[in-house]
Amino acid sequence: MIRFVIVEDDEKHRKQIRTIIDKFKYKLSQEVKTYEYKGLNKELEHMIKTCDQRTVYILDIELENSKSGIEIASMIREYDWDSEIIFITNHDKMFETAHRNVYEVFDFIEKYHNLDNRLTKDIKIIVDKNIDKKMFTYKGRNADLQLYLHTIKFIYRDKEDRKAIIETDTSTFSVNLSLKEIQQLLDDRFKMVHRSCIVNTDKVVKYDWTNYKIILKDGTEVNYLSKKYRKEVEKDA
Amino acid sequence: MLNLPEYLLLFISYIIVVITLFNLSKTKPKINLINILVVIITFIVHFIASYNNNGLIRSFTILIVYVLVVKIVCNKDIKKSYVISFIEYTLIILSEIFITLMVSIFMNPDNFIKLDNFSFLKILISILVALAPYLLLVISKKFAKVIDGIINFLNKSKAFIFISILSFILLELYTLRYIYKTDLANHNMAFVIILLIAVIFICFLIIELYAKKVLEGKNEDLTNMNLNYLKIINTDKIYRHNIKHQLNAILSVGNKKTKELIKEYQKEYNLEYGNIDDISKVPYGMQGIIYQKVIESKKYNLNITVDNFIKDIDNLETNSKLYNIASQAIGIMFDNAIEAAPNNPNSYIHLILDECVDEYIFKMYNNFDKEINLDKLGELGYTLKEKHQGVGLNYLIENKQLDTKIILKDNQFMVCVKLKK
Repeated sequence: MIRFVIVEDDEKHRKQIRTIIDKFKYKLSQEVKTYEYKGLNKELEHMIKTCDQRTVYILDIELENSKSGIEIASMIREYDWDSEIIFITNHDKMFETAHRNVYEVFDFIEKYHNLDNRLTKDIKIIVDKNIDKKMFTYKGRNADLQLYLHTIKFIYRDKEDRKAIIETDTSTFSVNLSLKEIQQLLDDRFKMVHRSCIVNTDKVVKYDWTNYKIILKDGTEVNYLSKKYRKEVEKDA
Repeated sequence: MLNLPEYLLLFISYIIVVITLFNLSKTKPKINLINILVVIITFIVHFIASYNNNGLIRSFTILIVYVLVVKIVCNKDIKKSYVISFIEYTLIILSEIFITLMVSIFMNPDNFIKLDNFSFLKILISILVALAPYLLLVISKKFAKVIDGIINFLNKSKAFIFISILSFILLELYTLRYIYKTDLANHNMAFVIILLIAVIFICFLIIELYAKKVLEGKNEDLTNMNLNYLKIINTDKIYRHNIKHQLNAILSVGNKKTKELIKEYQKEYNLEYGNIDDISKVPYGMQGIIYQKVIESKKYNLNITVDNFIKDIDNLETNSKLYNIASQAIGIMFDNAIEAAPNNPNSYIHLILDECVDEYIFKMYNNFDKEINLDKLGELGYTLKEKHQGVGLNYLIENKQLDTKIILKDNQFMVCVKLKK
């Protein structure tokens, strides 16, 4: 089942959004439930705190006599990082960039410009997509690390510093764990390809067994590949 | 001994006082068990105190009762609770004097003296006395604004509590009841005491107004400094904008070598400019820190956004100890975020100012593009910045007045600092 929660104080816009969602109901194999609110109230707060099912929140940013859409998004993310948030807004691009990253907002849609088409497109993408919110978490001495598994490219052992280095799509982290300990925190898509390296097989384009390197989708070359692990790697390829 | 309707009427008059206290503290009444209990208990204490013959004990007890109501039910800090209670008590006294005077003018003097024997009428008058300040605050916006101004002024004063308690004691030592009950010789004493109180208040006002003037001068300097920083940033923005267009014009007509050279210059001078206009939501005194750090870093692609969810920012700004700690923490958070954020148009720095019942919560988010050692992060000496000592984050973590949490999520760095109110 998928749940849509509309938080919009303008009745006309609320009806408009509801109509768009209703058009989808009949195309989907799963059950769809829609809830409408003018602003944050006790019922919505309870729903956010229990977060027991897949939800798409469609929030207006400016709400009369209520906490703003941003504050509601902040509350949602205190309990739930799996649900999708779509903002209906009139704000500018800079506002969008920061809030998109901070609250993992799926989209910002302008209220008075192409709302129907954009929202329809977004709902289709959300409903069709495979949610992969599995995370790797690590508690350092003073900081916590949270990485979506789908963003991790590969992990290797730095012999000099005696640490594991995690390379993601955007950053690099070093943690005080062995590769064996790290592998226990990952899922099946991660395979050992060298005694000092684990790779995310979803990101691999080619295993070059001649030159002992792996080529990833973004062009990165990983120079850790051992024949010892060939059988295991090719088993699921 | 009063009967039940009279007790009820007294309770009503007390509730009116409590509602006025809510109005003065700009709080919406929350009806829960604790608040109801506090109101009932304080009503009982108020009732017992009002029948005490000793004027000093009576007045102090009533003032303390008001302070408790504002502190617990309206959830204000102790100083503001005292100021609001003092103002309300003063309004009640003035209301009582005025209404008693009106009643005495319109009533037959014999009947006025006999009023003491009619408790029901006395209670009705006490309801009027309680109602008058409330009605005045609700009906007259100007009056409400003046009272707000007085509350804010007295709340910022360092000497007010001491001066007011001293004056209170002196005044109560010689209340109107003493004037009625003692002989003429003591009226000279009364005059001396009242004169003394007037002198103390005048001195207090002079000192406070002078201190206010000095603070205004400092604020003006701060304002000018902020404006100068803004001017520097805006001038630089315009300069970069113009250079960018001029270079693009040359690019379109230049030969191959010229085009290569221009493209190198464009990369070197980083001609895109970010946006930091949202900083106006940050308390004014902190804005200067941010402008200064942006200019020092020379990172002109930064986009800084702020969400301020703190409803009563006055409470933070008037509490100088809390404000200093908050400014320091936010300054360090900005310092780290500005250094770590990449110098490109996709960078972001986002500050959230929030609060719950007993804490202020400051959250800073920024993206980064450097390698981070999770186990050394936050330790003294660990830094990603050149020529820096790695002190800032460590200070936030080690400071016992702050509760600091750091979370790295993909390429987003989040620091959450909580400060007890």
